[in-house]
Amino acid sequence: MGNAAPSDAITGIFLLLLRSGLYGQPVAADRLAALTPEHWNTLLSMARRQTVTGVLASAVEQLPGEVKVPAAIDYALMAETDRLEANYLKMSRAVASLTQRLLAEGLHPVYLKGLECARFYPVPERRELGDIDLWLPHSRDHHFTHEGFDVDVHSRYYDLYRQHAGLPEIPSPEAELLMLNVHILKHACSAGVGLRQLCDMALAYSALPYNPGLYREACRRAGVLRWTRLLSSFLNQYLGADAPLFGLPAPDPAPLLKIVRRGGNFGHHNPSRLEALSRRPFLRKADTFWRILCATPFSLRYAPGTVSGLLATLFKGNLGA
Amino acid sequence: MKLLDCCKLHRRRRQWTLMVYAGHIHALEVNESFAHLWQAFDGKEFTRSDVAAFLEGEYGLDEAEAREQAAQICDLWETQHLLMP
Repeated sequence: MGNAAPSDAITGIFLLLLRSGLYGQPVAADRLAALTPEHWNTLLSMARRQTVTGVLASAVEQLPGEVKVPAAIDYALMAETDRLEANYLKMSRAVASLTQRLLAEGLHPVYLKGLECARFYPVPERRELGDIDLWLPHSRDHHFTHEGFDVDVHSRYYDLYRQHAGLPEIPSPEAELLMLNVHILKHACSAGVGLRQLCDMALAYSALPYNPGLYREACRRAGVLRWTRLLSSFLNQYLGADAPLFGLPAPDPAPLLKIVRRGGNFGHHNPSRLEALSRRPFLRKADTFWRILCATPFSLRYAPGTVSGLLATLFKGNLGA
Repeated sequence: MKLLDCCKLHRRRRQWTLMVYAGHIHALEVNESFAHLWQAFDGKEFTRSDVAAFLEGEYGLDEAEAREQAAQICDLWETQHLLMP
């Protein structure tokens, strides 16, 4: 999950620690006994690339006393959690004032992702936050800033590219799960996706009182049933989740792990993607177009309807930034 | 006097660390007593007498000993730049 391709063993330990941070699962000291300071640096680096340092910090706090964590790693994680907690507080205040402002204008925002997902976490303040995303029915896509945060207003609740009849009512647990689900799909089929969103999804399945039958039907109507089983297989195997497989065998989650390892955090840690993001808008869009094409074998296998929709959205200006 | 407000106390595996975010970030490993005192006075205006009274009450020290230790503690906070200017 980084440029230097950490070993499978280190990746396994990283995922073990994430499970501990997400669910409080104890980690036996002997699992970590052979870790060197360099390994710990790699683990911290992986957590940063995947924007899950808060989860790693929670895991490290719970380690048995006999585990020797280098002091520099401890201090770095403490500084990270202090930063995350300060940002959470700041964003919470910003969202409260933004909501007041929008309500005063007669608008009723539905907040998406970010702060909404933080509520699923054992320590919500430790979930890395970026922008404020909200859905305003009957609006157009646009951006503005509010109290230092970028606000993305979405015209669509779901990242789906054609009309699907019979999707869950908004708000509902099934709607929220589907929204998070297809958001991950969108990024998996373009620039890449990281563990932060996958941790959100894992916890959402535990936290939300959803009806499995309704959710399965929603995934079927949205054309993402096969993708959802892959996603669930990944979440269950690597993040210890209890995600639905709809009574079918779990597919091999390796294709999704490959995507996560390659980029992290929406692909922003893929070196060539990083370079592309620093260029002008046209070149950024060209890079995104290329990545969508490269992901086509994956997209066609797991969510065939996604490719044309992604390309159409790219040319309408919503991707590539 | 008041304790520096850009600090955060952490407890990790029975070890206390004070993270200080003044200018550059640095970490101070502190003991249980330091942490207890810090928590008692964090965010509050206080005097050396307040610290002495706290030590008398919490640790059962006599007045003279409490005054002496309070002076040492406040001097330490000052020399470590842990007090608000």
